[in-house]
Amino acid sequence: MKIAVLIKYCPDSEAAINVVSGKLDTSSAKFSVSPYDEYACEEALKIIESQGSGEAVVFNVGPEKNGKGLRDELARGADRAVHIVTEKEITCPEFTSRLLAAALKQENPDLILCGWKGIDYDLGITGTKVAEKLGIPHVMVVSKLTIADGKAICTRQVDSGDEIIEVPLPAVIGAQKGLNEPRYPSLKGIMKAKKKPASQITPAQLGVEEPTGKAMYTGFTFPPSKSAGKKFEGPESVVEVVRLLREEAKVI
Amino acid sequence: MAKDILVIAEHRGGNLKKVTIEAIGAAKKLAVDLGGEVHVAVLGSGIQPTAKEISSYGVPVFVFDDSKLENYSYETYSQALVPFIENRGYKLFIMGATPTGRDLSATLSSRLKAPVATEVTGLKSENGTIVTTRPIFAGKVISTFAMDSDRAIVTIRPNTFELSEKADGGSVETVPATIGDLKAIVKEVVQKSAGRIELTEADIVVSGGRGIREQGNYKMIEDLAEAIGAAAGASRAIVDAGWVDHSNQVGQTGKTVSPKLYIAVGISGAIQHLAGMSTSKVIVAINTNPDAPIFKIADYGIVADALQTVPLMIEEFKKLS
Repeated sequence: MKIAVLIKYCPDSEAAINVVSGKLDTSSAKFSVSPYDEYACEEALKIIESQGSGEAVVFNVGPEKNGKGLRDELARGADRAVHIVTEKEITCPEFTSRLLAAALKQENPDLILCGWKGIDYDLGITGTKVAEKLGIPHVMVVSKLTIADGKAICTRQVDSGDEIIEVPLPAVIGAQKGLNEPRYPSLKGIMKAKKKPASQITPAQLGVEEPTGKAMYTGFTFPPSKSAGKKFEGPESVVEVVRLLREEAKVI
Repeated sequence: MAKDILVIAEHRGGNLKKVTIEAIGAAKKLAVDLGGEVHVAVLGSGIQPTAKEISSYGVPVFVFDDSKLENYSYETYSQALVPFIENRGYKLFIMGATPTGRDLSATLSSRLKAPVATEVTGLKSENGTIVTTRPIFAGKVISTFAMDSDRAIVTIRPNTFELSEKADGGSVETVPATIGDLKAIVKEVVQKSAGRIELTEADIVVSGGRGIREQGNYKMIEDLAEAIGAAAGASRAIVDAGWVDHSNQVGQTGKTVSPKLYIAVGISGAIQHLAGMSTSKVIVAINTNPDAPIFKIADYGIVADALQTVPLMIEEFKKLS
């Protein structure tokens, strides 16, 4: 079984993000593969291990430096990488999904796994758009996945509980936390990753043009800083805090 | 050029979600600027009473009532909605940033060729451009995302916008839905939190972290939540430790909540936790470490041991009722 894994390489959750004159500055941020995409890659490896054979191909769209994220997943155990290289980071899910769909058409995977959203822009749109462009079904926010008889049986987390959804393959499945525990790359894995095939391709080679839509980020600011709150010592101060919640904050 | 707004309602077994009423409230304000009307679509099976309830907010309601629409699925919902939308024309679509709303918005984005702004906390119109505010990078940055397109889709963060007022002049119209073949089949719906207050919609959330020291003490968090009619949440640390189900996690890889009151018990306040709760209106933190980062954003901080403090807080809350 050939499994495609779509990964995002972005500032990790602890990273320092700067805003300079209304523009984002991530130059001092530490980048890593978005956690939900790590669950996706781990699931691909587990499926291949349980079936005894198969190929996991990791895909990324973004600038040259994102190659590091792809190599991290090769070190974890993926077999091959496809990097769609763009000049700068793409923040338009329509463009990203056009590029991914075009690259995926050349590969014809049996299953496509991705994180259900990225931890940077928190949109959660790209996986679904890829599925729509390929004309295949999708299930997002999946915390359990079983592959059998050309079908995927997915547990999808919703507010009130879980939905059990069955889709025919190929399909796009969006990983949620809880799907698995991603393994750490071994030293051997890191050495092997250097020799694994990694190809680069440009949007022009894929015949994909940037959408002409007029939806864009027009500004960035830091959230309003909160003024220092009141601090109390000792468990018995609860009496005073509850009084303040009622009389000052008026929230209870 | 279309100017009207369509709110897509969400309900659980006919019980309307609060975020839908917030979406109607947000839509009404925006409709004044856009010079259009607010309509609401509701889909389900046997949901005429729900449609009637929505119409009490003074809006025309279009109800798609079909047994095939009993459970949400992006296929059935979009098959019913897309032809209706193409016939009538709308400028903007608003739904809740819930698992259902987010899923539907992604599908509609493809099928209506419209951009989406997710988890929106601010919404306005500037000369017909839909301008949204949305937290990104775990809430460390607030972005302005503008959509100058014929159509746009917005999902609003629950508990962020004011509820719509009730009003006269509402109506209900049934729209026939044609549902064709489906690829994804919902086999089963497992209710986990029946009767419990949903974290993302709760007015008050009480969350526990490492400071409660062991799994058995999470009961204390649940008791505290019950005493004040709150939903119980948890930090990543105790979810990863297996003490509590992931569906209770508040934070970057869990749920985002925005309640009136958030009580963090024994939670240090790592950035990934703050990502899920920093837009709460009032924050109370209980932690033994006076330098814990959670105190930087807490309105009321109590430097004390969680296990000694929570029982006293339960007593105080019980006195209120």
